[in-house]
Amino acid sequence: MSSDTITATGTAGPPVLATTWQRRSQFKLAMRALRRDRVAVGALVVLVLVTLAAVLAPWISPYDPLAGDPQLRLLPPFSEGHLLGLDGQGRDILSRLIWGGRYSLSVAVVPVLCAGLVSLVIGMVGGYLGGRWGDSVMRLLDIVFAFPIVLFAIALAAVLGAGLVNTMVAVGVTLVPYMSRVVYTATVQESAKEYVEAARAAGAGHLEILRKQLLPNVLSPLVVYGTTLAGLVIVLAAGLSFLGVGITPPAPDWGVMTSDGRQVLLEGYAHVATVPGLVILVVALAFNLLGDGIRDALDPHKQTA
Amino acid sequence: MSGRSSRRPTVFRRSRVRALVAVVALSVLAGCGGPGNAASGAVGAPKSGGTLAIGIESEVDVLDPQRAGGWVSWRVNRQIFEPLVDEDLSKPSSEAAVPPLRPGLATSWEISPDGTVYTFHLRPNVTFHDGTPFDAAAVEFNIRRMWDKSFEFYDAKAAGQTTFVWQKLASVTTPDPMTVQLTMSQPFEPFLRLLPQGGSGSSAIISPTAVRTYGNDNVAEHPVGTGPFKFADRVRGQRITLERNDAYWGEKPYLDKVVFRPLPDPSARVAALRANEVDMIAVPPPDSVQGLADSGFQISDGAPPHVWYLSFNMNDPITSNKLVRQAINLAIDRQGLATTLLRDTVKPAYDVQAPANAAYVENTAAYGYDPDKAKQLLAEAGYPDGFETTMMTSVDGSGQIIPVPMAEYIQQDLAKVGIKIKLDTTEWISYLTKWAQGTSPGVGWAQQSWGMTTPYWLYIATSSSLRAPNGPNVGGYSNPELDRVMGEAISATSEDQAVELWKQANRIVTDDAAIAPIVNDKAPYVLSRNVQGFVSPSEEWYDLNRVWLSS
Amino acid sequence: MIGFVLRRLAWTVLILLGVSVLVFLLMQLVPGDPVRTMLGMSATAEHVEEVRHELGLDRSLPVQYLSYLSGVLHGELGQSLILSQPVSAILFPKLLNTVILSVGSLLICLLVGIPLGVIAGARQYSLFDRGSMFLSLAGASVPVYWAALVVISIFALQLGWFPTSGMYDTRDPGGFGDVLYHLVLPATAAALVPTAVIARMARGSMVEALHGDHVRMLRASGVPERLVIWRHALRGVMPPVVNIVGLQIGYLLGGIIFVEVVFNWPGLGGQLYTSITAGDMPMIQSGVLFIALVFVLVNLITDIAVALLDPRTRKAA
Repeated sequence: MSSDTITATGTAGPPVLATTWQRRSQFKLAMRALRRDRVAVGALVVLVLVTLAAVLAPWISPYDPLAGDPQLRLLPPFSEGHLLGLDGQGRDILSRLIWGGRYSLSVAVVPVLCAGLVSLVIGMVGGYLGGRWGDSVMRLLDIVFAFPIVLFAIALAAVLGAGLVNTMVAVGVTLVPYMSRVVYTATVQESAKEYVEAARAAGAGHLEILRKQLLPNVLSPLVVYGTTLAGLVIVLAAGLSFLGVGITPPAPDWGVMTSDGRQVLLEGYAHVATVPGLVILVVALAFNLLGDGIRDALDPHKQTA
Repeated sequence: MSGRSSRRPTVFRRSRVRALVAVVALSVLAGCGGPGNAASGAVGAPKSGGTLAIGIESEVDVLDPQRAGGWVSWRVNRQIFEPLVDEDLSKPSSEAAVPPLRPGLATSWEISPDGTVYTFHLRPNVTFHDGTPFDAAAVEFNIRRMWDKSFEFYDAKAAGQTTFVWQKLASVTTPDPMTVQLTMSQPFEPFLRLLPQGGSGSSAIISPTAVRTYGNDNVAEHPVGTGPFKFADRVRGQRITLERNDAYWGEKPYLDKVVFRPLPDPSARVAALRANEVDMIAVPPPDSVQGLADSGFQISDGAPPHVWYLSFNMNDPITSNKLVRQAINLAIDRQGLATTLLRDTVKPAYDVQAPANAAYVENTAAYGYDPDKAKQLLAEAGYPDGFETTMMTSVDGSGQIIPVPMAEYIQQDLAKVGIKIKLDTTEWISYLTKWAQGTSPGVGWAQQSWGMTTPYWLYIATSSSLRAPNGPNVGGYSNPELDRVMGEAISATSEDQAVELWKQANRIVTDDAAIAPIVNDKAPYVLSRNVQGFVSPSEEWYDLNRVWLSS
Repeated sequence: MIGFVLRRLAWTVLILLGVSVLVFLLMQLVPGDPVRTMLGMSATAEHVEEVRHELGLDRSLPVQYLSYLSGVLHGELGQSLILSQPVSAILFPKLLNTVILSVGSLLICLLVGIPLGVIAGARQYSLFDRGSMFLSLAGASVPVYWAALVVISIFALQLGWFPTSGMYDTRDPGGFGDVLYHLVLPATAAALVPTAVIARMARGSMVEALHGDHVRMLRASGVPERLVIWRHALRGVMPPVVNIVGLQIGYLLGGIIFVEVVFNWPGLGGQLYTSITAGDMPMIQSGVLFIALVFVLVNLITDIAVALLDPRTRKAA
């Protein structure tokens, strides 16, 4: 949703682990810290529950998310048999929310994972090579940075056409420059450290240094950043659906549902948009809080609540 | 909703936290609706003055009637510009199912017995808003702008929009300063009805002085016509202001000013009306109409020449099968769609022509809702278990009502007879392009909303010579028998004869199920209590010179 | 410093060039055909070709791009394909409207975000800290188009404090006061995300500053806590905050399209969205270039400001 939230976290100077041989014990420490962080644990529980619901949708969903009864359309929440009411087509909102996780969570996670992999390659190679080559890679990405992110996603979505896969591609491509920059910054910082020099002096090859020395240390800021991004992406994808270039109806995607319900929000049927809107809020928030938690756990200073 | 009739106070009240929290909770739980204002009784005699603010559903493209596309633009342009022959829009659809033709800038006209020569006698003592006198030279100038490639002010964009009006024109002459004679290459019966059309370009007359002064492109920023209102100012995305033309030749408007404000978001439109920021809105969301009526707003609807229809892909192995097309027609519950999802803001459509058309045929029996018969036909066609296909539609757009929810409704109906459809939805502007290129393989049908008061529209939508991408017959339908009948209708020399032939054409298309008409829009407008004299005629546009504001 | 600014300016030109190539290539792929859009549903293929030729759209892509570029270099942004009007006449007013909305919203971000972050940072782990950070994060996790409608429903319809949408009164457009009155709700909605970002950044920097040796020394020497926070620690907070504010401006310019759509604010975002779907290349090119230019320049100015605030980064830049 926001380039700055994205860039902000990127420039915040992600915490870096000092050395490889401290890594394992530090990981344990971090896990312990994370477990003590009640907010982060809560966020994780929310995400696990939502994911479980989406996975188990065929068994736990009370109704077919695509079949509605037009005679009963816009039934309010807490009606008999329909806890969260019915939408404009007379479809059960709770069932649609449960199934919708399959779309919304995929849109949140898949592009971040794919963009993360691509960024690892671009960022690490650029950062490790440094000098003129590394610089040019980053300068190319600068061009995409200057391009307003929301418009970039819209343009990509317009090119590809609406649909689940296309939305994921559009969002994923949009994320690459931001994630690459995080990886690049971390790689540059790490490459300058003594242990890398030491490994090089000991005769380690480029690939080995990249894989064994740099990768583990670069991964942690990327994981922190990616978790936070997932929350933003869910909201961005909802925005694309709202403009008609995202996921296509009747898919029970949360963004599509919120966007559908907008039309009747002012007409006394606020629940149709509000319920999925709140779900987006909770899930996006959970991703953000989990990201914060992981960062804090990795960071001895414990900067953020 | 208190204080709807008074202006909002500009002094901000201090926050009242408790009240606010209560309101937040309330609005999230119950949404927002306001207590109604009872409609007032007597409104008294019409009086002059005031500004009418209209919330329109999209931005107007250009204030050049010959170039402009879409109904939204013509609704504004029509107040500024006039055609030679006009339609009488002073009667609601209930009184005139098809708006009668009436003199516009021509007071009378004759057609030669062979149907090829049209002689127009022009209205005397008419001047354009810039003082230029209206005469035969002005008419000739305008026609050449749209039709004569060798003319200095020929405009390819205006020509492209008005193709169907001038396609049979062979020559223009001006025997005297107040007479224009048009000779056609062959009889062209629909011609008079096409003159006042405005959805796709329009033949309305622009001041030649303005075109000469500002050029073909820029005249849209300085629109000068002869109509009841003249252009005052335009701020893109915000407003178009028109003022009363005190020198108008006909009945002068009551209103001092009309402001058209583009409010593309339907909820924003309703909110602006409820907050008294505008006096009238077009295209309210169907679910808002009852609530608005309960709050004391007036609902004005009609029966414009509008059909929301599906064009079947004739090049697809499945939908090229007539039985399949008929089955789909039978499997869609049009009445249910109209009463539940659309809350009676539309009528179910069974004929390919809208009722606002002389060739309309009452066709209810042909494709009533009958899923059992649909299944039977599918089995006969070799698809006892149904099939999968794709439906193309837009997500918004002029006259499209609420295309996606409507498509979802159809999707559910068809699922009941085993037909699974995938929706291919596109934003309106991109959709127009995609639609005009025709249905591609794998796409069962494409949806569109269109129609005209002239039966000639059927030719535009189904003639084999206009198969996409060469024209708007997007499904690629071709039927030599239909072509022959329509050809005869076009060159008929009497209207009665033409209407009979067009009705015959309707039956052919209906029997073939080349097009599935779904609903006819009632095109509701919602007006504040103080707006008087507004009429919803059987057209996609309206006149404003009889509208006035009561106190 | 001057050398640094000059180098960055030269770099700006290259970036803009790159942006324009990227936009041009991307837009070739968008399905919308401007001529078809312009001529409507009944135009025949023959007329479409005629107008394509008139507009020069039948030339090869490199030729089209170079002719556009040479136009820009001559200060000529060209004409909108759909509207046949000069691009500058349509885009400049809309850019101005977007800037007004962005500035209004930025003011809200600063006035709310910085104090919130500073106080939260100074009282780390307090109820205020947790509560305010949670709320600001929640504000940033809401789909803006939904939040905007809720805001309209409450403050415009139920309470009637503000107009529902638009920039001026419809019947009787006023001046600056009228704009300000219409600005409050959309600016607030647009501020949701950046406020959260700024508050969190300010908090993080505050915490870091309070952990620094400098502050420890001040505290040890008995300087009152209030002075430590508002005079000394705040100084350390400013550079990252200025940095992030610069990025917010870029975001606001391109990203408030959702707010513009729901509040019917006649800005650049909504216009560009329409132009993208219609394939109106000259409009898209110039609009995106405007935003990119502002974005790059604002970044340059922020970098200079940060350098001036914090001499250590001057070398790194």
